[in-house]
Amino acid sequence: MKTYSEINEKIKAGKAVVVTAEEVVEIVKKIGKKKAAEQIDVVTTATFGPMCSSGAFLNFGHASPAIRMESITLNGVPASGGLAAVDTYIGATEESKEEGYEYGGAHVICDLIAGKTIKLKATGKGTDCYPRKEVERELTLEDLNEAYIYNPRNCYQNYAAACNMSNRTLYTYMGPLLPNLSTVTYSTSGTLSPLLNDPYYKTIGVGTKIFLAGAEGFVAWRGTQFNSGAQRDENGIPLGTGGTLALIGDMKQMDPNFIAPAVYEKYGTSLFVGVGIPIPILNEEMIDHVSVGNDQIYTNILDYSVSDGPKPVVKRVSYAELQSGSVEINNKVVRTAPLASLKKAREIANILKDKIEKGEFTITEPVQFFDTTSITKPMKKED
Amino acid sequence: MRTKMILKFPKAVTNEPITYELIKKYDLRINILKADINFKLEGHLIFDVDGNSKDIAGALEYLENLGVEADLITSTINIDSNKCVSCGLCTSACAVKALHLNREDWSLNYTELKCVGCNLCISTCPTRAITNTVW
Repeated sequence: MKTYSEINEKIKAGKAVVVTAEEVVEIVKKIGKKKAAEQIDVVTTATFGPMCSSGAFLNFGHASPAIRMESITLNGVPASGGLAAVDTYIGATEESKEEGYEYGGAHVICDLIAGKTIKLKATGKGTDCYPRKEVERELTLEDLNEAYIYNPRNCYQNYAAACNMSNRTLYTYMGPLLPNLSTVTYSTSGTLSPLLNDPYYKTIGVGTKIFLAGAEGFVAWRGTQFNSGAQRDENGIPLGTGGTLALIGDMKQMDPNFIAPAVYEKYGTSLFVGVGIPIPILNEEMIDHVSVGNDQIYTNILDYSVSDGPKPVVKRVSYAELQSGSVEINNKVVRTAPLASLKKAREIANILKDKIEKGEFTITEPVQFFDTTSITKPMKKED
Repeated sequence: MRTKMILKFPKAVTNEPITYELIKKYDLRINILKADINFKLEGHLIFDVDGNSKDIAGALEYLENLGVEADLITSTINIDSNKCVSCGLCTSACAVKALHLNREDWSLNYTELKCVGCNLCISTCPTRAITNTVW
């Protein structure tokens, strides 16, 4: 048994033993769970996948004379006019009025992080306190007071893979799905994925300090569609979607290498967000969870040609099978392709490992834990 | 040698049986990878060509004399390594496995010789890192 403060003392002294969630699988195979739990202090997890439920809060400061911005665009992409005078939220999937989904909210966010100039245009009706009716400015991230990413949902605990049994190409958020069962696409970093390493949210909760696109961010809340009450396998891994996390982090600290706009053909814009979460090895139970390998993590391949109601399960496969490059379905070898970058996820897990080893990143005990009983409801049926 | 050949047709090309000549006269083993030609013979053709280099040079000269712009190319796409995040989604579109993920370090690899120029990867790439280098 170790405590958060004991582990942090070791981190600050530069003596913490830190490994990635991939490395720990092999270590446990060699030295066993008991020794591993004693020796390892922190396991780093990471993911770099597209997440539509992303966006950023921005504050522009007041113009003179002041305006209450009610209709707002940034580089031609609409942003919310439903907050206070010069606050806005720009959603990642919002599309440019001129360029459509080839330039969306995700591009605006990433252009700001990359230090590029963006154009703000806003109008308001004019009030006694905010007399101005329109404003136009060229701005960079530095000109803003606050700019932070807020992901209402990220880090899906588990997610189904996609295929297409119909005879036409389907354009989806899982990428273009070629007809007649030609490809399977999947989105996960597998054994590196944060919530697969802490399936019952024993160390990840509200207030957990994380790596968010290069910045120090935090778990802000449970993510939307938090389905922690999902049926689980013997390793505690949800058979379906499971838990999710809401994340927050300062854009001014972010690195364009770990956040990128994504465009899915005939679907729309999304945002790749790089996330790294440290898991303190408080006890042997945590080693049980982090030592689960890709051959023990399963997901369903769903047929996306069924668009109304639950999509039928075509096959249940392990992530090791998906990552091999092909799976066999109905005696057909079907190639598999990921949506999330395992290369980037590994990079993030190693950066976080390095920061903790150097004493630059400490672990935090959650201020509130998540439940394991929530079930995501469908939309209420029509009366 | 094996290479790819792109032919760009202007409007006023004679009704010459080009593919037939390339096979018969220059002994080239030809696979048509892509053909986009309208009734006035405007457009382009991409061949996968296998033959000896002397014959390929002869074929290029023959085409030039006909007024067809012909070039040898190794690839019809370019991948911007600054934009590519190695997500790997393009490999779902690549039936010939010219684009594939290295299963050791999970970086994206591209084997030019295998590419048949279908260009399905271009619209599949989420970061728009892949562009058409030919037309």
